[in-house]
Amino acid sequence: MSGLLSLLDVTVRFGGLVAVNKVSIDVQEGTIHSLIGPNGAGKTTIINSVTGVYSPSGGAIYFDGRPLAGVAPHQICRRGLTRTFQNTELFGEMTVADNVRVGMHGTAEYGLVSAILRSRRCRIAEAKISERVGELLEIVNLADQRGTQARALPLAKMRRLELARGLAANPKMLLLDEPAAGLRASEIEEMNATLLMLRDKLGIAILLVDHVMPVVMGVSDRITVVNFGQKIAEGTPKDVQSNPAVIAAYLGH
Amino acid sequence: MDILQIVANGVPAGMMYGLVALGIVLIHNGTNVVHFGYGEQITLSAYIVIVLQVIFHVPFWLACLVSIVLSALFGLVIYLGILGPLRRTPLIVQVIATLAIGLGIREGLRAFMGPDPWPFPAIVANKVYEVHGVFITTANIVVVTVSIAIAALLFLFFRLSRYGHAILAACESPRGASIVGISVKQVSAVIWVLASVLAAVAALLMAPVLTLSPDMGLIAIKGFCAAILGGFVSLPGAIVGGVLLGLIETAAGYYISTATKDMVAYAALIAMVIFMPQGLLGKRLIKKV
Amino acid sequence: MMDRRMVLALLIAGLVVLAAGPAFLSTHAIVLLTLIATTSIITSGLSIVTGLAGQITLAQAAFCAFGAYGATLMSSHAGIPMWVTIPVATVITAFIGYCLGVMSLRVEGHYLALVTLAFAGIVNLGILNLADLTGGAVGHAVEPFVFFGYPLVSPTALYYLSMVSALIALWGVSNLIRSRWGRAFNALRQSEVASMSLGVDVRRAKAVAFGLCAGLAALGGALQSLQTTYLDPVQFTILTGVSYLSVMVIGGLGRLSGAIIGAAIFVLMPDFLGAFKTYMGLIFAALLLGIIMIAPSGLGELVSRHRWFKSPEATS
Repeated sequence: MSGLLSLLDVTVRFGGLVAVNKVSIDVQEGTIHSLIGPNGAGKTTIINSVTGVYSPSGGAIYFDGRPLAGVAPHQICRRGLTRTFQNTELFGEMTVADNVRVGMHGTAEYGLVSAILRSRRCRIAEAKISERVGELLEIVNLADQRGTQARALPLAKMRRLELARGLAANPKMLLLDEPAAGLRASEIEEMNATLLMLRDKLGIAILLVDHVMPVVMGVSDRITVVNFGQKIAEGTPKDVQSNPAVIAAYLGH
Repeated sequence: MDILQIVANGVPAGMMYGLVALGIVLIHNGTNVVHFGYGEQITLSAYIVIVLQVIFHVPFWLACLVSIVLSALFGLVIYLGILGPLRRTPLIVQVIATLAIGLGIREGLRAFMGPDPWPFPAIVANKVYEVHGVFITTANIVVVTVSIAIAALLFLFFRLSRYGHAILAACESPRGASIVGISVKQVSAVIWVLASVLAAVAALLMAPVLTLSPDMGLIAIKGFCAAILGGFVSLPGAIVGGVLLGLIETAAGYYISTATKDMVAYAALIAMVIFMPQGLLGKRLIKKV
Repeated sequence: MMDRRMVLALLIAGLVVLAAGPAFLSTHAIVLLTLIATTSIITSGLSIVTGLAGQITLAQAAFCAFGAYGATLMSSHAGIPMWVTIPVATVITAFIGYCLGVMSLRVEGHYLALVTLAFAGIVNLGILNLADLTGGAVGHAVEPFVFFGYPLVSPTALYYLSMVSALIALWGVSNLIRSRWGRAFNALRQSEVASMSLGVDVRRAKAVAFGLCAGLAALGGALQSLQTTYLDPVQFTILTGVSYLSVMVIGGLGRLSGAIIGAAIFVLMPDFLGAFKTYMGLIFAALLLGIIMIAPSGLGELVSRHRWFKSPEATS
């Protein structure tokens, strides 16, 4: 089992409660892998254990061949794994452009002293940053909102900004936490197109957690289904759609 | 001086710190605000007694009672007029607000009552007793008894009364409490009133011992240290923290020097925050990543 | 609507006025402006650590003390000239601030306010009790600043020294705010979680913010001591620190203009109130509460909301 991101028998316990029970997921490079399941199935817990919010009580998580255990969240980002958030943790008071710029903080090419003196090195780096911001905003179709305050954006645009921000960190893989929640049908189509473009043109792997089936079925190469903290099915969208255990999980109980 | 005397001096002093800490922790647990002006509320209560007594010639016991009532009202006004409306503002704004309240009271008292200390009568005439070579004053005894009585009263109130339960519920989960019909606003108001009453009582114990001046409230810093020592999450913790602080302070004052006495409180606070942020009695704080 | 060229023109005009000031201003005004300049350096530190990074600190006056006492004591005990000891004290204090910032990692909000309060208390008590070194409550004379053989002690000389220093410091802070560090501080205040997932080392950033704030406080405090010519522990109490933070709240926390407005209020208020000095504290507290209730983002925000100052884009 060797993907870009590998979860091997990961277990997460909170006191006596087992939230995630021996789940293994393999996300291959340059693919879109979705993680779905009913509410409370443990999806967010799994994501949180990948990004270092929770430490797994059992099992191991590898990214790009290296273990993620004990690695600080900001280091995880620098290794190439960036996460977006369910409740859009955008920097509301900052402009769209500045939000994206923060994503480039880790890869910046000038230090504190250069910043204070606004040296040539700093100005050149900032110009490059601005250029890249323009490129990323073009990718997510937000170029005309460069100077808008982030919290003034409508939901769909906020989600796109969240994507652009994540992309700014130059990730090998994106962890998207419910990027399609609350979107209208036309916006969902746009989201699908964007995700496919990220995979095809930029070669970025995506681990997608969502409830919105048109997105999940529309873009996934592989889907893992969890319920009550356990994996109950895995395969292509077609496999999963016709899987009786999956149908039972969603319709039953 | 020996260990027993240190205890005899340290425990009453610590109980005073604990009383102050009690009010601070109460307000913090109930409304998520650390009231940096609490010491000044105590000072204000004491001054009210003096004003009533000296200017209006009200008998001492009546002045004390009126002071308690007026302090309660003042606390209510603070909540309704300032901290209540500021509930949803960033923390820095609320902190500054409580600091401003403290500053206003302190400087207002200095302006209208003068910067010089006023003598404050003790509730019970002060005598010194000697028990097995240890000196104990009436003030010591009064402080300890009153503090324990108040702590016990609060304990009973929160454990046994329905309204006490309501307050505890609102503190733990405001949303849950409002779902079951508890008015969080009302609870917050009650907490402020309660803490202000505590402040007034603390004033009656502290003012005779500390001498009353506009700056008397700065002693509240010890109250904050006591609250941190106790863990800032429980009322018994506040008392325990206070007593512990009193003992450490007195011991430091005797064994090291009087100059280090004040430093000890600050150092204890910083040390607790670095090594044991949950305090002695608090639960382990799980800081979200 | 203000555009870039108009801003630049105003800036240059302002600089010319500042440069020519001492020629036509009274000594009293020169002294006040000098004080505002040095206080601005101190408050600008707060605009970084509290305004941008959102960390509460009541210890600013303590760092001023490190700068002022540090510079003078190094000079008087080791004979090193002030133009060396002031920068050295600034850097050392910045490091101490960084360490305090590291301490702040485990706590936030109220606990942080209390830790900085305790730190300020210890520093003040330390000054009072280490009387052999610092002069204790009696105080300590400040060494004069000697510039290539010329002692800068006249109000005009100190005016230029402080103005130039303040302009350089504020220029540096303004660059910082525009840089990736300023964005990182701003970001971590609004969402630590998102900042970390984007690669910002939030712990280190907070500590850096504290260090910068402390360094600025030290610089401002040291320069200010040249003017007061005497170090008195009463200038560096917890209440002083609270006052710095309070004027920042009035002036506007997140903006550099707030630092200058705050400094102006801090310096001019005692002067302005004159006969009403006894009521100054009360009036200040009332003003503070009033601003908080009406415009929590401070006066700077109120001003910039006015259409004159609205700009179409921020950094972009």
